[in-house]
Amino acid sequence: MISLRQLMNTKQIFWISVLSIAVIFSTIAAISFGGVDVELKNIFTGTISPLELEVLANIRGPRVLLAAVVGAALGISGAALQGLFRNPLADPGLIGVSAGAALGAVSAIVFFKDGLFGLQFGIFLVPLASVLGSLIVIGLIFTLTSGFTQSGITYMLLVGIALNALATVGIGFLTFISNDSQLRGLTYWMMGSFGSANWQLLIPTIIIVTIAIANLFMISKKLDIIQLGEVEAHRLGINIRLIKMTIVLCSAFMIGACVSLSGIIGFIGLVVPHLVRLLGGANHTFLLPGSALLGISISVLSDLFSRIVITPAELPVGLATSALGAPFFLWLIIRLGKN
Amino acid sequence: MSVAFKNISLSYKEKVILEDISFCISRGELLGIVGPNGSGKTTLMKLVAGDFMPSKGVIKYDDKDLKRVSLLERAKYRSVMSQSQNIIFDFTVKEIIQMGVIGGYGLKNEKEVAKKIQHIIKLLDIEKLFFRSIQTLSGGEQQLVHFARALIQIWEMSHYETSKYIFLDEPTSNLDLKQEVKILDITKNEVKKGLGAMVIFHDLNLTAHYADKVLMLSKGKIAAMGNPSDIFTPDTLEAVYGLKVKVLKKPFRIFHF
Repeated sequence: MISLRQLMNTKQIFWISVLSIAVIFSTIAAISFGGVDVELKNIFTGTISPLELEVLANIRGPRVLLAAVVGAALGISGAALQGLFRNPLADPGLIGVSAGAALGAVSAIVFFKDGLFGLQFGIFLVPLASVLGSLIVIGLIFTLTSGFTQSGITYMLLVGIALNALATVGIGFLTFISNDSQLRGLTYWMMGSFGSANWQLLIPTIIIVTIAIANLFMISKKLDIIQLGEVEAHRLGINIRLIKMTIVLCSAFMIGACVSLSGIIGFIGLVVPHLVRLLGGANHTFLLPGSALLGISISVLSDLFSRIVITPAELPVGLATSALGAPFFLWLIIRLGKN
Repeated sequence: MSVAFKNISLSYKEKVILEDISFCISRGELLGIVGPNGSGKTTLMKLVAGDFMPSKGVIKYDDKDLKRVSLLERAKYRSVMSQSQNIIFDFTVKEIIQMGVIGGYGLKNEKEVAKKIQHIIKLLDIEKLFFRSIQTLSGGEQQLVHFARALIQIWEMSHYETSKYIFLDEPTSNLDLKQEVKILDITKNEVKKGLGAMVIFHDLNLTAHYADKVLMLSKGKIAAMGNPSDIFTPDTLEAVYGLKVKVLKKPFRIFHF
C-alpha cells in the first residue's frame, strides 16, 4: 500500500490540505449565493423552503457540480499535457482537443439540432457530437504520428496545433453561415457557461472524468521521469507510447465531455498547473491532484462571480476565467523572459 | 557475458551512417570510442543503448538479441548518459537522482534507495546540491547530477554480481579538470568492480589513460581497434583526423603542436 508520505513531501501535503479546504469553502459559497440565496444550515434543521430545495436540487446543485467537474478536468489535463510535452504553455486547447470538441458541438447546433438527429438524440446530440469531435482530432493525431510514435513529442504537438487551426476555421465558417437564433446560442456557448447543467448529462460526464483522472494518477511517477526527456525515459524502461496514449486519450474524453456541457472555458488548463508548481513543486504526484483541486476552486468561484456580478443577468463564465487568466499568463511570460 | 555488436550497419534514406561494425564490451573493461566530429560515435551509442535498431546486423546483451530484451530488462542491465539534457520544470537534484533508481523512484525499498543515494552523492561530492533545483545549477554541476543518475541506475555497493554496463557520451564536456578526473576515476573504479563501460571521449590523452581498449571511428567505419598505445600511432591519427601529430611513448602523450 502506498502512503501519502511516499508521494509528497510535508510542504506538499500541507498545500493539498489547504487546497482541499478551499474546495469545500468555495463550493459552499457557490451553492449558497446567487439569484436566490440559500441558507445551507436550513437543510440540517429541516426548515428549507420548497423554493430553496428546488434551486439546490435542480439548478444550483448540478451547476456547481458541473463547474467543479470541468475545473478538475481542465486543471489536471493541463498539468498532464504540460508534463507530457515538457512545455509550460501546453494545455488542452493547444493540441486541438478543445477546438475539435467545439467544432463537433457547433456542427450539431447549426446542422442537426432542428432536424431528425435533434429529435432522435434530444439533449444528448450536442455532447455526443462534441466528444466525437475531440475523438476525431485525437484519431487524426494518432494517424499522422503513426500511432503516437513518430519523431517525438514536439512533432505531435505541432500536428495538434495545425489541427487546432483547422478546427478553428471550421468553427468560424459555421458561425458565419448560422442564422440569428443559432448565432446567439453559439456565441453564448463559445464564451462558456455552466448554466445548462442537468443531471442527465452530468452523471455520464462525472463517470468519464473520474475514470480519466484515476488513469492519470496511476502514471504520475512515470510522467516525472519523462521530464528527463523522451529518450532518457525510454532508456529508464518507460513505455512512452503507452504514457502518450493514456494522457492524450484521457484528456480527449474529459475535455470532449466537459466542453459539450460548458462550452469553452479558457485559461484554467494553462494557468492552474503553474500556480500549483509555484506552491509546492513540479512532481506530478503532487501536481496532478493539486491542479485538480485548484481547478475546482477557480472554476466554481469564477461561476459564482459570473452569476452575482450583474444579477439577475449572467456573465459568461469563460469571460471571467479569461479575465483572470490572461493577465496571469502575461505575468508568466514576462517572468519567463526575465529568467 | 558481454554487449556484442555483430556486423552492424545503419542507413537512413540511402545514406550510410555506420557500416559493418563489430565489437564487444566485456565486464570489467572500459571501451573508449574516439573519432572526428560526425564519424558516428553518438549514433553508435544510441544503437547500443537500444534507442533504435540497426538496418543490418545483431546487437546482443549477454547472448540475447536486443530486440527481445524488454524495456525494463534493458534499464536494469545498462544505463546511458547523453551529452546534454534539458529539464524544463523545477525538479530538485534529489528527485532527478531518484529517477535513476529503476522502480525505486520514491516508492519501493525506500530506506535501501536512500542509502544508495547518500553513497553516490558522497562519492561525487554533490551533497550541497542535493536539495537545490536543477535549474539553478551550472552546466558542470548539472552534468555531475546526470552522471549520478546514470550511475545509480546500475550501481552495486561492492562487486557487480551480474552483467551491468554504463554508456557515457562525452561525460566530461562541461566539467573543469578536477571534476573531469573525478568522473573518469569513479567510472574506472566501478569497472574494476566488474562493471562494463563504453565512453565516448573527446580527448585522446584521456582516452589513452583510462580506456582498456579503444575503437576509432572514421566516416561510419572502424578505422582501428585495440590497445590505446597500439592504435594511437601518428599514421593512423593523421589518416583519421587529417592532422599531423607526435606520439611520445613514455609517458604516453599525443601532441599536435
